[in-house]
Amino acid sequence: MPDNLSLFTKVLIYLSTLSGLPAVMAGRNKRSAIWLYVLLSFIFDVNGTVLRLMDIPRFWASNLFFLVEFLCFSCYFIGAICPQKYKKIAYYLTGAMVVYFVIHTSIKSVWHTNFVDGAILYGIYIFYCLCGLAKVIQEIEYVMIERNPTFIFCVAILLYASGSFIILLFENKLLYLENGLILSLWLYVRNPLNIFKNLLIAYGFVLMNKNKWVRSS
Amino acid sequence: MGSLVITAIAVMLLLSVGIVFFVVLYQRRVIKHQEDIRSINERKQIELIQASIRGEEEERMRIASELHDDVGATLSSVRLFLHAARRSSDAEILDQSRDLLDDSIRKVRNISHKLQPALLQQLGLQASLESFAAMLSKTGNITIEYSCPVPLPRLNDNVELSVYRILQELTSNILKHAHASSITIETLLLPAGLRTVIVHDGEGLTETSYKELTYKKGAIGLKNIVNRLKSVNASISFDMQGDAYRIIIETPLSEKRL
Repeated sequence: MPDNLSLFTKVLIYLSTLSGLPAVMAGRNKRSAIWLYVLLSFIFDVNGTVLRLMDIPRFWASNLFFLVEFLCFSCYFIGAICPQKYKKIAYYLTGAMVVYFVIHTSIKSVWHTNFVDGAILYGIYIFYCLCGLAKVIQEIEYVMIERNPTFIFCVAILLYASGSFIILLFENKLLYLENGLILSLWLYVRNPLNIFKNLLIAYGFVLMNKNKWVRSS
Repeated sequence: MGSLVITAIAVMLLLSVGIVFFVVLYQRRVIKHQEDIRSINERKQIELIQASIRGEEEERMRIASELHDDVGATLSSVRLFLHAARRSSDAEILDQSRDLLDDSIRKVRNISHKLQPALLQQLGLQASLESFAAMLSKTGNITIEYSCPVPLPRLNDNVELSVYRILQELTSNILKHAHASSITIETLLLPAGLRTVIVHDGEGLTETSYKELTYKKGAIGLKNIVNRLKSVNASISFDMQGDAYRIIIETPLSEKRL
């Protein structure tokens, strides 16, 4: 890790790295796609921080993380919100997107992060979350919406994806034009969003565990 | 470029937060709306129960007053006549006593008939409605015709009694409020169930006024109709046939109800 980073920044990086741990612990009984995502995200975050500490290039891992993240989110959202008759098509589309991402990234360079495709994937997460929220509104399973785990997961992923989407979209341009800014964005926007997302997912798992919900009808 | 990106991130985050707030507020509004509907339905249910209880109480009071003021008074007179006859052995007094006793028996029979029409139990809905129409026509104030193109089979007791009571209540309302000069009642047995049609030339109820009245306080008779309709899963509708008002009661008949 570079020495010129302030204590606050370092704390933020460590907090972001470890923020997945409560969610991993809270959801360990669930073993759902979202829990697998949290677990793999935690592993990737730890791996990224260790590589950063050792000053080893870590951009290759980002591509793998994009892929894993996309698969986990797709499995979760298709299972949770997609109507039964469209599930098959949705899985085919997911498969097609994975194939496209793998081929496109392999053609460009496996050792460099594929930011543009990453932005596309984050755009898809935003779409998933909007569909999830629409379903939450439609079904009204819980009298208090903040007790609905699906709602909590959607909010967590929506905010995380919304913030990250623009960073990823402009990453390539900013990398050359304003390198300092992009670093700041990763540190002070993406890290807090990552912490926020992980804590919200942990809260969602706690709600699922407590199962103290009240159906409206 | 940098400021543009920062602005774009801020806009995206604000939009997301806005969407989340919208979802929360929208869901709260929908739930509140559902709660309101539920509370209105509960209130209406309570009103219906209260109307039913009140109707029952009023019927009891009517029977009590008929027994006390009418039958009771006649029997007291008989007692006095018999007391007098014991002393004088007057045949005229005995005849008067017998007449009064006959009168009492007739009154008791009328009360009993109002409570549970014997004809309905013995001969069914069609015969009861024929008798009901003939009885009201005898008053000379109104012409009541009953028609039944296809003879009705015996239906389930509850269906027969409910339809009969509903027709009684509707006819009574027409006589009281509609100032009609003629009423036609028709019963039709259809594959879907029993259709009963009442047509009258008075000032009738419309669908809207019926709903308004059943939702308002009071209107016990109409609420009793609603209760009876519910008990046999029947529906009621109001429309116009030329200048005449028409009330249609559709009673579904399951195999059990036949």
